[in-house]
Amino acid sequence: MYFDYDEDQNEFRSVLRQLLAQYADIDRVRAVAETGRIDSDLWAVLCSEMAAPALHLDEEIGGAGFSLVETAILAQELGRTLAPVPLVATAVATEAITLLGSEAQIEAELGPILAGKRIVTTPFVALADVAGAVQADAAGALTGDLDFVPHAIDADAILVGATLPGGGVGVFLVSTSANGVAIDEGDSLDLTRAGSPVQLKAAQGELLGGAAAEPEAMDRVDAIGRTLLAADMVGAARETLSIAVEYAKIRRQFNRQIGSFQGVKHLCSDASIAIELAHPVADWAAMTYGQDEFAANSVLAKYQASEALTVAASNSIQVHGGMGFTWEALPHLYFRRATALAQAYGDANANLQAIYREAATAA
Amino acid sequence: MEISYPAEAEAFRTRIRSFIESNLPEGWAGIGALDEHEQEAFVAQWRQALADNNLLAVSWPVEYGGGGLSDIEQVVLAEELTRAGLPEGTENDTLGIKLLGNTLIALGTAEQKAEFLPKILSGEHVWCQGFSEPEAGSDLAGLRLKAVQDGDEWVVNGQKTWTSSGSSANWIFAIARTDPTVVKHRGLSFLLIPMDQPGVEVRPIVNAAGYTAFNDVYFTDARTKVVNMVGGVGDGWKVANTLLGFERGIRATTDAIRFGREVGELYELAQARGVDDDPFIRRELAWCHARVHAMRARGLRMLTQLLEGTGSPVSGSYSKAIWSQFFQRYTEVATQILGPAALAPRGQGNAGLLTVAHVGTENSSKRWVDEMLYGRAATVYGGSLQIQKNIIGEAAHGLPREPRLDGGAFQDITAAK
Repeated sequence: MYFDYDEDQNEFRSVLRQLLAQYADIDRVRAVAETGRIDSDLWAVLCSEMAAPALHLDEEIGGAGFSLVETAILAQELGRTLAPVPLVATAVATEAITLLGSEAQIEAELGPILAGKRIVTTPFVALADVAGAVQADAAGALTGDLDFVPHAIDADAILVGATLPGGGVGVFLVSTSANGVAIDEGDSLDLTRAGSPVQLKAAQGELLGGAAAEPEAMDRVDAIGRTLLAADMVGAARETLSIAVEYAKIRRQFNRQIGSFQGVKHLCSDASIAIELAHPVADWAAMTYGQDEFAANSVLAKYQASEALTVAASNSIQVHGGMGFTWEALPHLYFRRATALAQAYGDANANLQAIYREAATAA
Repeated sequence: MEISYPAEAEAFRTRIRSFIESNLPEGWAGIGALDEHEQEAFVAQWRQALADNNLLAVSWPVEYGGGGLSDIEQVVLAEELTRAGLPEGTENDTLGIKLLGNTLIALGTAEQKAEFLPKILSGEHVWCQGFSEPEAGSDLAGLRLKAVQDGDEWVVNGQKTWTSSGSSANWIFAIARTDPTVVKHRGLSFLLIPMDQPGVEVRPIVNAAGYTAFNDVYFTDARTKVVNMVGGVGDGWKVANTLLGFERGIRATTDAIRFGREVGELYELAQARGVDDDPFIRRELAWCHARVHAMRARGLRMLTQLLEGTGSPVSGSYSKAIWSQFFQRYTEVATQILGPAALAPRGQGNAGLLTVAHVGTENSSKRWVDEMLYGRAATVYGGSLQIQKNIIGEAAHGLPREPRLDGGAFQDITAAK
């Protein structure tokens, strides 16, 4: 019975913080965010020195043999710093490849991705839902519109679900340089996780496993996306609350620190309570990776973490007063992250619908 | 990270389950299925069964007649009793055994331990708590109950309020002001006072839900022996805080069990009322389910920290804020489900209990309306939500306190005049 971080995990987090202090201080994060691209140098370092995309994968396939909790710790720290690297998208892609791909596909794809040499991204949408917007023909040419694909400009390929002509959903890899792939470059709401709408017009895809995907396998792929985004949101929530608390201690009005006013204090406490609830739920999901309950736990994690980041980010702006609504101050970056991720893998209402279905089935 | 309990704890769990099974009457359907008199008789008999099996004062060391159970065993016992809907003792026992008993063990004299601990266990002394006053709720240190020494006795005058189970008690532990000339929290002392005397009068308070679970206690030249002071003169605040520290105890994992059961009954209510296909009701039920899951996950984290010694006192404030707001919301959902039927509450009520209904209570409109009304009190008692948020902001995040206007001698504070 030990549901907390152990010494090694705390040490891992500490090492990550040192590394991110060097490669993801806020000035660098903002400078990279201006470009709308990922921080390739940081991603290279994370892949080569921290085995970032490989942490939870089996050693037999080139993974580091840790658990999803370690990857979640990394996701928390990346969320905390808003570092623009494609950890979560990569984890979803590698999950799909290892669960659905043929041996040859796994062999070809995994190595370069884990080495950080190849970027495979994906929308943060359940595969079956993506398939609602994308059709595949008999030759595997894909047609459909994707509202938002994170890191599209930097990606070598995009993982998508598509409706197959014979029925069912196929999970495909589409090269971004293929004919028929149009990336709509422009601004993103989430400045530190930029992406683009992508239109596919008979763009040739490679079908993982050469057949329709089992729903259970797709659930697992979606679940890892939700779980790591939940970790991202918990990390971001803690940081934006921390920034708000610091501001409330420094800023003075009416001859006292504004944090001494109950109204301001309680904005911080409300965020703190929401995080206190979300963090263990996010960890619970990561802990149950590979178990039957993983998919259901991932929905609960995403729902709870999104609530926490939304409260924390909104309240952080409020605590900062006028400063909270400047470009220069940090709160809007976390607010943008909150609003963007609220839409990931279904919004709160969709999450609650799924939670109801799961609970009613279990009852 | 993993959540399976140690083998010894699971073995203990099996023992407890078998103890429970062999001590429940045939066809047991929960306390809620009994009428009020049967309930009282059952609780008394159940208390005896616990006492006979050394499961009553489980947090006390064995040398004082306690069960001497380890923390994880206490947790397992609490879980199994909660699951079965069985009490750990009477309501007075929570005050006598868990709070006062542990305080005497920590801070009492040898004579006080010898005199009071066995009688707490036997039930000869039935305890209630005298803390809050009409003028001292959140501002407990501003209390006014006065104690003046007269020979070998303290003479006590004033009033305590919100004393739960006061009418079934024969002893009260109270904080009184023994010195108004010093800073307010330093002029307090902790007294054990027998209630069976002319100077102590108990009057029930009818609460907004129509039940009398609480009392006012009036002291008019009431007396208690000088040896019945716990700690020295002026130690009252420290003793009271030590006592309140025992309130936290081993409850980390039981909230999810008790509230999980309630949410299950809420689903059944929705089905019975034919509204379980309403998308808005479903949304609320899903929210409830998610919240119970969060409490469960958080509970196991807190249990880990309790066992590892890495916990923080402020976690109690988070717990109170979380469960009390949850209780309010899901009981509101109950009234949504009931619709107009909530306007005429019928059937079995919630017997004046503050939170969840006893196992076996009907899924009646009166039960849920009672709970919903009690939900309004949940964010007030035991430290109001606003106080808990202050504690969270200050203790967990280091935010500065508001400027204080109540320093200096108590008798000089304007409001006290």
